[in-house]
Amino acid sequence: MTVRGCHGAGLGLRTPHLRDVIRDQPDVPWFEVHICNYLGGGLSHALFEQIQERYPLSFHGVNLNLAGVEPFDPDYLKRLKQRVDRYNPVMVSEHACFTSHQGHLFHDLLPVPFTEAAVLHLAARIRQVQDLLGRQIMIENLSRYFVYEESELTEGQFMAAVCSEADCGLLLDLNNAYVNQRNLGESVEDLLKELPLDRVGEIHLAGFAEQDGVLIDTHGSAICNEVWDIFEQFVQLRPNIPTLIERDNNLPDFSSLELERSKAQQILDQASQDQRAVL
Amino acid sequence: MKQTSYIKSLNQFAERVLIGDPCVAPYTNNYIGVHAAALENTFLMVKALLDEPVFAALTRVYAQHYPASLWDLNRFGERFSEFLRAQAQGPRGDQVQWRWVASIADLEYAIALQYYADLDLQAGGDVINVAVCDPEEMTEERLLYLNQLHPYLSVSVECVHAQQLAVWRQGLQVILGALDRGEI
Repeated sequence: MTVRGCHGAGLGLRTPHLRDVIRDQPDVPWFEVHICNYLGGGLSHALFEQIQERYPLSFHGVNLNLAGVEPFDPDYLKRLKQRVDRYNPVMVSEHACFTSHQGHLFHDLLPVPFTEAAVLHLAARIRQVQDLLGRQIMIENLSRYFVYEESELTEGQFMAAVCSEADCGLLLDLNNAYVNQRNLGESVEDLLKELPLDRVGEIHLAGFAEQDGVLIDTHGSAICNEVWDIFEQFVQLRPNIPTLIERDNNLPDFSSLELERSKAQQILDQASQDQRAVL
Repeated sequence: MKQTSYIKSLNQFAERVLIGDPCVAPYTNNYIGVHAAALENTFLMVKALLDEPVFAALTRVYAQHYPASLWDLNRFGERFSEFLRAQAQGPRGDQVQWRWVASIADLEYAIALQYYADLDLQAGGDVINVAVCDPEEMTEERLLYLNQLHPYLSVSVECVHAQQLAVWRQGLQVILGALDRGEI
């Protein structure tokens, strides 16, 4: 029996690349998919079936509305559970955010105040999902463009408390951390000191755009040097964490993404070598 | 009490996004932008038929006035063809063949539905019928272009100048055929 895992640097797999990947079967150790695109039964699902036969997958979601105050969408949750049960992905992740409110579907990752009430609320909802899926999930830190006056905690303290309370994993998006540092003055170094690094099960690397002096987490450009630097420093603390190149917009050809993935892999390999040398 | 306060915080934030409060401008922009981008992904030929600024303006107006009703963003735009048809009554009513463009929107939405169909794969999916306004505009050249824009689409030559088209799924392809020429 082959044990499938997500090791090293993987790629976010997007619809325009599906055919190429099925045809060429590139040497990528794992892919992450936006699972919301594969919860139906159409052609999209047929292509997904072919991908999952060949590659270990991570399921990444954007529609659970984990921090929302309305009941979970039973249709979405049912489909997600069906896919998780059927395909047994290596990892399942979502975001520490709300995405719908009072009937409005924002299709965006909206932030919550960092309060004790929010910790308890979000953690309870994560536990509910974990109980339903019968497995641990990871939650991802957000890029944010707003600070709630009522926040009592830093983002690091908030995420640490949620992870502890829900006993869930952490998906650490280093680009989001950098964007928040630039936009909100929240130090990446402080964030990393406060986060429970032993719970980090995956890293995201991505690019941003600058609009009116604000960095927007568009996933539409190459990863910037500063984020690569942060990644290099982080892997000295925690090597061997599966790392994803996440690109959604201005999608380049597959070979360009592969170049960024190779760079991430080299950094991971170097960190592993350094660690072995110390031991 | 704390939970009430949490709900209040979310109420205020969501309201700010929807009314366009400048303090949450990136979120308001994204709310419009993400839905406009979803339309751009689905209605590729409609975008090509209209001038780029016209299409961009229409998608933003639609995104503002037709809120999403489904969590699946791939299915956003179910009333976009109706919205386009209504432009015939607007200030640019005589500058564009809106009814024809709306027919293409119907076709492209049907293609998207078959791609993301909420049906069992083995069942093949229900056939979606699309009536074409101004079928003389449905030239071979345009059909080829439609096929080029939608790589999973297979277009029958019988569709040229056809009035009744049908979109269905077959294996790993979405098929566009002519209903009024006995293809189904």
